Amino acid sequence: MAVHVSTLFEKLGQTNAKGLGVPQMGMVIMPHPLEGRNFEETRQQAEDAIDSIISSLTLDADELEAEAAGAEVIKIVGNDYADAYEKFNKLYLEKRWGDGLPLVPPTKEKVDWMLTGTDRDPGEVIVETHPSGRPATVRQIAINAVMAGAIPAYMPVIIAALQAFDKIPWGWGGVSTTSACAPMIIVNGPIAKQLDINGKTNSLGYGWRANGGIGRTLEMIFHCVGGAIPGLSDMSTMGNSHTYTSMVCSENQDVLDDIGWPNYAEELGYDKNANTVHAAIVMCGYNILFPYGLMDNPEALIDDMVRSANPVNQMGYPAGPNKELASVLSTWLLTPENAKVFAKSGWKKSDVRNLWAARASLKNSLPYKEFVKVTGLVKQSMLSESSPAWMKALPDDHPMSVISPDPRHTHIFVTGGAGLEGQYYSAFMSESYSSIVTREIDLPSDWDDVVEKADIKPTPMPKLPW
Amino acid sequence: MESNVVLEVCNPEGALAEKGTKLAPRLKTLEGKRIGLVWNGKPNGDVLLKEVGKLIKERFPTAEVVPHRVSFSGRKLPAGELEAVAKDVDAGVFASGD
Repeated sequence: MAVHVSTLFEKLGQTNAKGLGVPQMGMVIMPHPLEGRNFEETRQQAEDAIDSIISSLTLDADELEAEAAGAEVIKIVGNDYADAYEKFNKLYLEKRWGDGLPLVPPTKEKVDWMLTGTDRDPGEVIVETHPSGRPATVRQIAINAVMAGAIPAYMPVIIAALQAFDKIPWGWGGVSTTSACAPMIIVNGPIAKQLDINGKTNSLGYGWRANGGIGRTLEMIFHCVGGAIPGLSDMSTMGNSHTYTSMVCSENQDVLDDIGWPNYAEELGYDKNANTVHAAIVMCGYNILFPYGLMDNPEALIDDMVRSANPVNQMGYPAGPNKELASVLSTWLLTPENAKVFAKSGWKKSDVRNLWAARASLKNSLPYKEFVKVTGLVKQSMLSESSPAWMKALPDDHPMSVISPDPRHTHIFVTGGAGLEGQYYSAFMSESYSSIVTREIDLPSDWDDVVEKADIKPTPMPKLPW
Repeated sequence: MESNVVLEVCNPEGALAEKGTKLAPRLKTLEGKRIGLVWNGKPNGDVLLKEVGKLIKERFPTAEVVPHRVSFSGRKLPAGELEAVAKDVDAGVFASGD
């Protein structure tokens, strides 16, 4: 096999090859980019590369030495603690084991302390990470959790979030992609209040140790264990500031109780009091400002949502054939006030989802002929020799929508505080790539002790109506 | 009197597990062989592979070049996809550009 990658993705390709156990895999590197070149340029690239391609298919690769594992424990000597701490941070940043912000030193004592948050064996492999292929053991998770500033009580949520993330078909792709993706982790269940995972004002923002600590641990695991390093194997063109701490919050259960809506986990059939995490990979979000004039008009609010969330996306959903080329996974984060507009008029969550999907898919559709002009990728993917016959037979005026009319591709969470500014997130590519994965949180047998020792106090907040 | 502070900190990476994967054996020549040109849907990949196929045929006239399409790049291929390609060809050229 010969694999061709472009120059800028060479390191990522090598990391992937090592992770798959074939570091000596024949790789043919071509000048970046490949996409967007005209025929003559592409033809020249083929001519320039053909000798390397033939060599990769016919010559025996040299056996490479097995990658030497780094030392398990690293000694850092300083004149005093402050000096040692600074040297630790400098060293870890040089090794690309950080996110640019100060880290907590993962000493053996701190790691043992972090492991008190779980009764799993420290050697248990939770997931295989990518692109490195390294296993994330419970111990490695604990090490990264220390660095991130987490506490033992967060370990069950971190583990469940990682397990859920691992099952997103394109989850690990989202860590290395050129797109500005970030993981979104939303928590349901009593654990949210136990750990003070914020679901009210500023739920996706700063100020709560749990939200930041859980999310930053996940990011540390992506960098350190998973080997996602900006410019080498995390190829995000501009990045996304959400990748410092992922996007972690809880649903606002008080509001849901107030308006009689189920939480997200309940919609999936879980008990209201089940502790669950829901993981997704999302692109940058849109802050939607809904006019106060729509407070008594749920249909007008839906129309405003449709108008506001009008992303240009690469893929499309052809109306009618019920074939998923790729559709945008829609995730709505409704504020309590958004949700109340619907609930006051007797709407259920499913009513919101159904009408949004139906209207958004119509509003955002273009005739096929126009659609392929806008999204060149679709044209290439759909009109190549090996594309299915039905794809090539779509008439020029066939409606193509960036938003799926299938309400199952729309997900609604209620979170946040006062105000009408809900957020809309589209996920990259289709449901089969970017589904929301739910996982119940496994708690250790001594969970009550873990929580008691954590001594978590709710972050002081002004009294709110919910 | 100086007193140094020693921090012993854990490596956050972990070790790479032994995969036991072996590289597929190489061909001695492409003459008379079926060479798959495997496109993952990324733009221009099909154009590039078509040209590669022409160049292979120029150098190895008895080689057969066979276009194949696999699922869109960036994720693990669905079970059986790679195996189906491997069954049909003697060797493959995969384009994974961006």
